[in-house]
Amino acid sequence: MTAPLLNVEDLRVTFARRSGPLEAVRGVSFQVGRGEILGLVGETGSGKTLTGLSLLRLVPPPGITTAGRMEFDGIDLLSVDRARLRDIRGRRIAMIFQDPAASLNPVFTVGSQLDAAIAAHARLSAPERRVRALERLVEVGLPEPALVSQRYPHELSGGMQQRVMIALALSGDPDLLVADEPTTALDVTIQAQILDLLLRLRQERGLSIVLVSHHLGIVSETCDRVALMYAGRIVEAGPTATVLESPLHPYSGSLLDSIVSRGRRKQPLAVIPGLGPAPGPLPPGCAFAPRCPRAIERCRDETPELSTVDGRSVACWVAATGPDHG
Amino acid sequence: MAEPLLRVSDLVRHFRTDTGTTVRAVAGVSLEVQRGSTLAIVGESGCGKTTLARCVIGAIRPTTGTIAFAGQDLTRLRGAALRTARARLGFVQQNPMSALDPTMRVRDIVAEPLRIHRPIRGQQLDERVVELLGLVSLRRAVLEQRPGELSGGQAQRVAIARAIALGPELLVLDEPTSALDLSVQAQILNLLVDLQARLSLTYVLISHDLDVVEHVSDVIAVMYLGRVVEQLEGGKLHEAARHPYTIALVSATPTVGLSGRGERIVLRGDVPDQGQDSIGCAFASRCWLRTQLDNPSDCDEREPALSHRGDAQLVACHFADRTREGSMA
Amino acid sequence: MAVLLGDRGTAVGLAIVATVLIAAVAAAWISPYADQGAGVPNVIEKLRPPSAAHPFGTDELGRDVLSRIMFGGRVSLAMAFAVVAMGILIGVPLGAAAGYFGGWVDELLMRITDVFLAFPPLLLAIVVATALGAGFASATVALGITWWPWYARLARSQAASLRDRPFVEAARVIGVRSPGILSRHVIPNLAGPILVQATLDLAAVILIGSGLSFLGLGVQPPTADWGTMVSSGRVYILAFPWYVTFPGLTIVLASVGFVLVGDGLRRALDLRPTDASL
Repeated sequence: MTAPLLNVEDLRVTFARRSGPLEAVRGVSFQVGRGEILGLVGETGSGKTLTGLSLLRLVPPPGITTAGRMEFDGIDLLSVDRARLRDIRGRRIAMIFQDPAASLNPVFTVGSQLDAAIAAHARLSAPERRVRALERLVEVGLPEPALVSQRYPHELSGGMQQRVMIALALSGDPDLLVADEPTTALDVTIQAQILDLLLRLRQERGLSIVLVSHHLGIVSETCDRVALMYAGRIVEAGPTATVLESPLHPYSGSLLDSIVSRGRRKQPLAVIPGLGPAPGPLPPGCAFAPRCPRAIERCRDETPELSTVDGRSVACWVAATGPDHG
Repeated sequence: MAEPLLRVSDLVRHFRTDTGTTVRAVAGVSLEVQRGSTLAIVGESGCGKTTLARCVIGAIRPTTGTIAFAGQDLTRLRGAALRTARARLGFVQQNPMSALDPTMRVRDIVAEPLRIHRPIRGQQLDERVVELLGLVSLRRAVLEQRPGELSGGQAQRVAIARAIALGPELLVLDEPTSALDLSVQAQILNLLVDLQARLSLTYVLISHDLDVVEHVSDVIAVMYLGRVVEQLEGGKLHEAARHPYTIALVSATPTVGLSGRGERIVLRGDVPDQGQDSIGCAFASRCWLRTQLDNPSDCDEREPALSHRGDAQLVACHFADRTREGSMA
Repeated sequence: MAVLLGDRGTAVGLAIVATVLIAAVAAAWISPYADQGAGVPNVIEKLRPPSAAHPFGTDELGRDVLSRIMFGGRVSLAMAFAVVAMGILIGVPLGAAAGYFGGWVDELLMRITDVFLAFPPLLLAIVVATALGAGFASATVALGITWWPWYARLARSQAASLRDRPFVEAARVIGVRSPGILSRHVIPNLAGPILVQATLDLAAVILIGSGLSFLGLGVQPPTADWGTMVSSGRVYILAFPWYVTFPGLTIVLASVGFVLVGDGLRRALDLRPTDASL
């Protein structure tokens, strides 16, 4: 078994506040193999975006990122110095975001932004960079790359902008791409194009992808493995089909039951009772316990650790102590 | 068949852009909604569905065309008559956080329509507000809160309470669940279905989410570039869709646990700019069927008209009968 | 409020502003020589340097400078608040209407605003004050006239962006009519930036108002304000520097205090918890 490309153990992101520290990511562990697509799924407040950001040490202050281990291809991401980190960002690990219009500089053309990105990671002459830039634009499926190169971001559609962002992300030839809700702002047919592009890039380049999303359908169709997060922790993780078709964790089960495509026409949809976790320090025990239909005493006292059950990891006392496919 | 509660006829709405060109956001749409039913209008950005909704609700005036509500043409009414008619319609917008005035308290937000249109004040008004909050399952505690203090789900409930305050007969809902978390979407959809039955409401639902639409609609109208390209019965999208665009939309919608699904259709290119005065079919530039059929000239020369395919279905495509050949599931 | 106090700069600003305001309002009760502050001379003690009896020294008529500053604060601060109030009361409704309605209303109002903005503020104030005759009222009116266009501009841009917001559209759809929309939805939502601007303007008016008084166009003796004190003290600057220095420092300190508060408000209003994406 080859070593994973990315190995994260006990990742924590804490925000110092006057009212006390707020732990937004509370001990997350996962791995990503080469050429693998991992989905980080969760609702608002689950900590999935912060987890993605922390891989590139991009969590904005006053957030502090700590971990037991955060290794990328043998490099310890926690202890690298600034220069090395700058080198890694873009050249080894790249990131794309939700709103391409906000992430592209409006006063520079696509071509000049791409040129700057390539120049940052490789010592090439101007004509060589230009060739590379056009190659990237073709790779992301943009028609007439020479023309697109001369356009400003606002002159492009949302789908094209997102492709440009992906081209920028690929300009350093990274091994890992962190994609934070890359298609949420796009129409569904354009979304299909972009997801297809990501799959193709994985195929052609062996690119590993960490896809952060709140959309179970996207994750189901794109990711090899999925990690479902709730209140800053992973509650269930494993091969996508396994987790989504026969979930073990009560939250996974309830969430999947409540999605609209599972409902019967015009009949009430299954609903998870109660409200999501409020931001702020949480009481001891499992964060989902107050809303969980199968909670036992132990759930309120001890926070469950991930344990392997039935081909995937689950953080649940009830699921761990006896497979109960309710 | 009974007289529809809402009948939109040949609605057209143009916008002039800063550069002086005219955009035809809605290019001739005709629809009917029966009392007590839900009509869903689906499409992607630029298809005109939001503009259409805003015309129906009266936020903007159509360029040409009529909107007949319970027999009255809303486009011809003015002043008091218009205000009275508008009170029979309610509007729920997409993002509850921006649809509620951040400086107002919930109690005043829900009371606002009542203050304008009804002579009730004081205690009676307060009671009605509490009653409305109860209908959307909110407790009195939220009365004194401001939108910033509410969760997305709570805020949307407040918006719904405001929309039903005057006891309207028709609600126009613009993407009512898109801005909400997954688990909250289910709650709000359940609320909407429940309210429809309890208050005998008719819904016009704008959405881009096919799952939501299939779950609640009786009739689905698919729009592309300002026109309706297909209309069919709710719940039948997967089996009955005939227009190549509708089929592409269904195919593009990511769904959990899709094993045994055919190849996904990925459309080429982007949604073209509106306002191009095109001859022929607006979808031709991206149509997979046209490619499959070797670019027949009809697609470029004649704009297809909506024609019947079975009682409850309308399709605007020259080759609607050919779309079900092949492996489209 | 808690957010404001937490920020050190703002806390300092608030402390200064509070001190200045209290000193001014309560001048009659807490100043060491209330009658002198009000103008009663005490010629025997004239031009004494700072001492235990007179912490800021005395002026050319023997009056305690500290008391004069406290009484003078009433005038300077009253003028500042009055001018800003005028600016807001005239400028905000006009600007909000212009921004909300657009079209010819906007054009008309903005051209009027442009006329006023074309004049350098101090110059316009001098002209008006001269025309109306010197004194507190005319100085205040003069400054008010130069100030309202800035509020109109600010209100206009805020109103224009608010006009298309969903909650404003919702109000229109509900049937709220334009005056109602302006008063209940648009204006309350522009209060934030206006408040910030007002606080900063208080500082500016203190300075410019002092300038007018310095030029003799503000209040007349024996009433003092900080500007007239600096003006009177000018001739004594070499031999008796405290006479000019302390009022001058007070002007600067008060302005700084308001600016710090204004900046803190601006920062507090910008910090909205929109981290829903996390």
